[in-house]
Amino acid sequence: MEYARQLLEEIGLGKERLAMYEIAASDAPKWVAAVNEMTDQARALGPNPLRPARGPIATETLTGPELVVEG
Amino acid sequence: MIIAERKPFHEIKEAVAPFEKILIVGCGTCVAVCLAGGEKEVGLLASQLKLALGLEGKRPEIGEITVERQCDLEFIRPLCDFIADYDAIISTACGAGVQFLGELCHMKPLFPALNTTFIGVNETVGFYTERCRACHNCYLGVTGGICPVTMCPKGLLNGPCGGNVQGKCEVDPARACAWCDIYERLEREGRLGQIEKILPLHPHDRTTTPGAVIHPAYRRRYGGHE
Repeated sequence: MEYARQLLEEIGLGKERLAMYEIAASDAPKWVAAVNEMTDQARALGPNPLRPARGPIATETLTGPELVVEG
Repeated sequence: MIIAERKPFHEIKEAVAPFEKILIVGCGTCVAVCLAGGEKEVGLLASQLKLALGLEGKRPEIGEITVERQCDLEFIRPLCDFIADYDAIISTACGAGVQFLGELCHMKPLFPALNTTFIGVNETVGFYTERCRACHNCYLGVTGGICPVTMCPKGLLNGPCGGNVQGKCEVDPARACAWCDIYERLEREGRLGQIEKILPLHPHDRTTTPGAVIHPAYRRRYGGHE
């Protein structure tokens, strides 16, 4: 884990983008705290500089796949 | 086996940054075992280079290939055609492999990705220690299987120096004195009398580089010295 963080740091992406938490399956509050912490961290760091700039995340409703019968 | 460590990433990146088509050639033997230059490490380096150069707005084409051994023509000769498609080559082999590959692709810039460190053993996963200095004259038979040339920082051949303190080495007090280990080993083997044998001066003349060895069965073919 530390090695992977070091690799990210070396290439200039920053080790802060990767983290590992140990959370018990029954420990929901810890899970929420970890997700919030990582989300705040990601927002603070900004978008991945390797990805082309995109607009705000689309909020359109996801629809299920259509059934296509061929033949 | 040969133990090596990967060079700092910035050193590799700076070397290949001017090139657009880069081939990383891995070596699947010693450096693969010591997790420095095998197929997996080649993939890791390729990903790192793509990301790091991508951050600078570059989109290099990076090829990956790993051969069984780069110190063996049999395995690197088939790379000739492959290499022709690239502007620069990175080798993740030991120094011997890099140079041998360089003889093959002498028209292309070739860069090492590793620092070759020593001949050693795999003590446990990720932990390697030196055991042999390839000194051309093995004493292990008379020193109880412990090499005084390698394990003693001073390479003393006839007993410990005066810096030995309670069985510890003066160069690194955390380590046992090689000659104390040799004494104890010979004692356990019941051949302590062996230690009284005075070893002659080490034949340093034979360690002049570059060395060459011709197997006796091939002397006629290669015209070696008798």
